[in-house]
Amino acid sequence: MRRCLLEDMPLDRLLGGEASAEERGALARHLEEECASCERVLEAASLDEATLLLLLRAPAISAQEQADARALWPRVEQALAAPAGATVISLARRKWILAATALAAGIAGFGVLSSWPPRPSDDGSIGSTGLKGDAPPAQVELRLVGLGLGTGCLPNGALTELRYDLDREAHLYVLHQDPEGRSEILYASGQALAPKKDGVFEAASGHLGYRFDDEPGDHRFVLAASDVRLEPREATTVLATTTAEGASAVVIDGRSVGLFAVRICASGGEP
Amino acid sequence: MEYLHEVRDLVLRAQRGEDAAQSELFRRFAPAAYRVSLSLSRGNRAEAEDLVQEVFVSCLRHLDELREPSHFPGWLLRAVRNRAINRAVQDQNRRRLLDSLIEPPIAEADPFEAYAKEEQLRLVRAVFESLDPGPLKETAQLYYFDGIESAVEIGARLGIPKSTVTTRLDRFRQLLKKRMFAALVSRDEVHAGGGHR
Repeated sequence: MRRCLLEDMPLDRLLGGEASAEERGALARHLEEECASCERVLEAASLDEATLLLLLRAPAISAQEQADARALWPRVEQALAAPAGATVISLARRKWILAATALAAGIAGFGVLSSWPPRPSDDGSIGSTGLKGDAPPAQVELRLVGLGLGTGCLPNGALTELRYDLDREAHLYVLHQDPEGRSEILYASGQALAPKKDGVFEAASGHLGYRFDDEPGDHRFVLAASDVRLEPREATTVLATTTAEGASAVVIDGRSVGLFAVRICASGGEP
Repeated sequence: MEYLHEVRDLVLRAQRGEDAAQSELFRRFAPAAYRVSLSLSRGNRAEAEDLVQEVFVSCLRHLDELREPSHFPGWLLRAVRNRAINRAVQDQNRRRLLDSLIEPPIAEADPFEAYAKEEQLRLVRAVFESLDPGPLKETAQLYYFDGIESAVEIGARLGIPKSTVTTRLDRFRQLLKKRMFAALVSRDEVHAGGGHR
């Protein structure tokens, strides 16, 4: 009885495109023959049609890229050693975050007042002392509304709607930071919005919401209210200026911006 | 299956928390995961690297959930696919929410879906045509080409139980996977020496 070539061939090298031309040639010829063992190997390795199609579509990678992929192990190892939900960010992203933090620390005309930790008073309003902007910032509050909130970490796939309170006319920006520290603008009002209680953010596709899909860990949402329109980079940078939850404020080029931050924990799904 | 026994042993050792086994699993499967990630990231190397990292961290953390250790290769690559799809869906949802200030929503068809359907159809046809006339070919004809997706309905047409239909279709899928794997090996042979850079 002929031995099945696939049984002993390193499947990882075949899938990664690392098998030698001789190995591949011999295997290609073998696969044309009747061999029940080959089918059993593919079954045992749990390779389904969708995965094989993906591999068929994937371009070959060079030896250097194979080595680069293996060189990621220290990042994986470091992330494994960290608490669940924390992931080591890539160098490119780390640079971006450092740049944002540097801006927040006062470079390029961006000033942050470290003496401004306003907290909601007993009646829920924010004090106005200590801020050196032209005028006190608009007072805002951000709320996430949805099933499962307030009962620990949100289940994977939880859908929430975002709502706000605003005490006077302002441009609003909703910023999100995922558990890996990546920031993005979820919402930016094209024009100043009128004061409102329990307002919904009207986005192009409906009310602004957020679905927690397979992103376990702590998410931060920050609502920023500015008298003037902010550039996307300025708006994103605001996120890096506040670590506090609840109300706070920053000054950008002499203009005060009211903030309200919310932290939400989400569970992960299947790997 | 000497090779899969090795993988099985590695997974069992990694499940017990052996660092060397985790590292060896990564060393062996990182290129395959990267290759798929790069394809799903449309050639964006930084995204592909992040995807590989995220998936390995997640899979190694949840390794105890893998009941059959030899399933690791398929399990890992499915995790890459699922995570890439989740990311794409999130990006698409968020892009829609960015309103007018950032950029208008980008509507783009997924080229992979079109490719996948076309490629799968080609391979299904190749397997189908390689079969001798008989019950297997007859069942595959109804399922793949006549569009009857219900095993009960196929069974009713052929006068056989549903279980017989599913057994035959499972057999066809085994042949299809083998054909796809052969296509992969042959394609890599053609691409030998080529890189993605």
